[in-house]
Amino acid sequence: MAFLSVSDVSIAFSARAPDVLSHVSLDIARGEYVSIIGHSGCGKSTLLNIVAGLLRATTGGVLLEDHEVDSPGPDRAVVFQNHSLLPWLTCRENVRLAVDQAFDGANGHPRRSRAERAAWVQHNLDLVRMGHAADKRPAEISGGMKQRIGIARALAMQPKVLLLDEPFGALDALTRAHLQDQVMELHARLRTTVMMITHDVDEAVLLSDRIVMMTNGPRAGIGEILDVGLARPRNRLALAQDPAFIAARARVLEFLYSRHRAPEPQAA
Amino acid sequence: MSITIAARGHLSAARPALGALWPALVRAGRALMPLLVMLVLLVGLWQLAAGRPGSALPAPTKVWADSSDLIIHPFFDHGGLDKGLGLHLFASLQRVAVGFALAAAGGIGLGLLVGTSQIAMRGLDPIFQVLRTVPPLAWLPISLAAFREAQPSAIFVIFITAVWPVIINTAVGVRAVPTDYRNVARVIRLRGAKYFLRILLPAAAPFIFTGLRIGIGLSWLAIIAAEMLIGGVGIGFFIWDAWNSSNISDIVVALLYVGLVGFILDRLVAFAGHLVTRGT
Ligand SMILES: Nc1ncnc2c1ncn2[C@@H]1O[C@H](COP(=O)(O)OP(=O)(O)O)[C@@H](O)[C@H]1O
Ligand SMILES: [Mg+2]
Repeated sequence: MAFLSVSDVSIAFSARAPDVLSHVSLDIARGEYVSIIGHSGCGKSTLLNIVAGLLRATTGGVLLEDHEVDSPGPDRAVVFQNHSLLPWLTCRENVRLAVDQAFDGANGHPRRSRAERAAWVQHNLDLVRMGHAADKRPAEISGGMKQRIGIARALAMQPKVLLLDEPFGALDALTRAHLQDQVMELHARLRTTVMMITHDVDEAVLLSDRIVMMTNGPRAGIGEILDVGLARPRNRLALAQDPAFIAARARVLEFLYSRHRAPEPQAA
Repeated sequence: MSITIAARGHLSAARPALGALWPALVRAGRALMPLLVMLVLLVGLWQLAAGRPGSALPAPTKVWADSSDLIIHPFFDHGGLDKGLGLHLFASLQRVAVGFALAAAGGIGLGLLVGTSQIAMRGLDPIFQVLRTVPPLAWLPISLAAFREAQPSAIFVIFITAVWPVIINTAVGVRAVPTDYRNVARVIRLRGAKYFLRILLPAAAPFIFTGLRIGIGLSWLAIIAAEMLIGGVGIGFFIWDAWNSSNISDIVVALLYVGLVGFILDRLVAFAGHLVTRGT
């Protein structure tokens, strides 16, 4: 039985509109790193939000360790595309708020004392190398740092699944590469199950065990799933020349730009 | 000044302090210079326009001659209504403080209700939209009829004037809590009172303070007008009284004070908002 199982999920946002996602099924194993790639607007975020419990599928459903997902919770931590840190809290307080909730004894984890929670917050800030800026407010740090705090907040909940919605989409190339390496390192260390949305082919191949390629909406579905099969740990420089990496990359590019080209942009 | 200091032999001690202060003084001078020039120009124009014999309004020199006492002694108290401007202003400010505090509490409460409950919104919002267009002074007769006393009536007029922008801005702020923050709260299962205190209130705070700032301005507008009608100690009645005794110079001085106090009130609320929302 799969660890996380999306079965036959369809969703429409109104009765008259066509389904956004149609009959999506996907099984993810414990500890697996799965990327979802597809053109903008095809329904990637919608799929992630259904797994998070933020949206309900019209038909079909999601099972996590054989429990049906019917509402959001800290066992499925989300890193949102635009960091979503609360601007009135410091970085530390942002993480602390999530930790206080996740370890209050009623949300799956055993209760932890104040001191334990404070130490755990610090541990996670150090994990993303943000210990030094912990007491700054989100407005005072760079986009890459915000995203790291968002990742620390999600990891600090000790989720069963980490859901990343284009976590590096808004960052410049150097910062993005740096954060990708950090996420790879964290995944190797913590063995968290990850479902990541991206539109960056290199990122998908570099980070993932499997790449789920989605067809264009409406009624988007899974077009193809690629087993990346590159050994870990992975090194972006070494991989750049690696035939297996190049082949995987070509396969995804071919899917996205030859067989399922982006739909013509429509006048708004 | 530096010469005096040098003569007293404190040169070495005074130099660094003055040296550090000097750029700041220059900057302050540069920033204030346009304002000072403008003030001199305006007062000069006023003097030219009103300085002719037979002018209906007093020129600055005449205002100073007639009413410098009011400026120099703001806190004299000869009993009854014969008090310094400071005391009149203080009486008005007390009324504003009470009325505005009530408006802030009631307005934020009602705003939260209307912002969070669809039913409350449908039931109350149309009523608010109509009532908020009633001019402040139109409430005065009915509140005098209800309270039968000047003091609570004046406070009620402040309240009813200031409460609408607070309600409306609070409700808008509550409804405008970004979906991202709501989603974060849902993922970490922040609900009920915790959601209210940790997400809703801070997210709405900038809107609430916008409402409070509009409200304090309107309060100050309303109290002056209301006091003209109800009498007693207060800057509004002082102006009305001065008009009745043809002390136009007193009125000019009082207007300057009213403007300055209104400005300070606005800045105080803005500053409080800045402290509370910490620039979010
Ligand atoms: N809350 C919503 N209400 C109506 N339509 C929505 C909503 N959210 C997303 N959609 C539509 O669903 C489609 C997929 O959106 P989304 O999942 O955000 O795409 P992606 O993340 O792949 O770019 C889009 O056409 C979008 O307009
Ligand atoms: Mg998206």
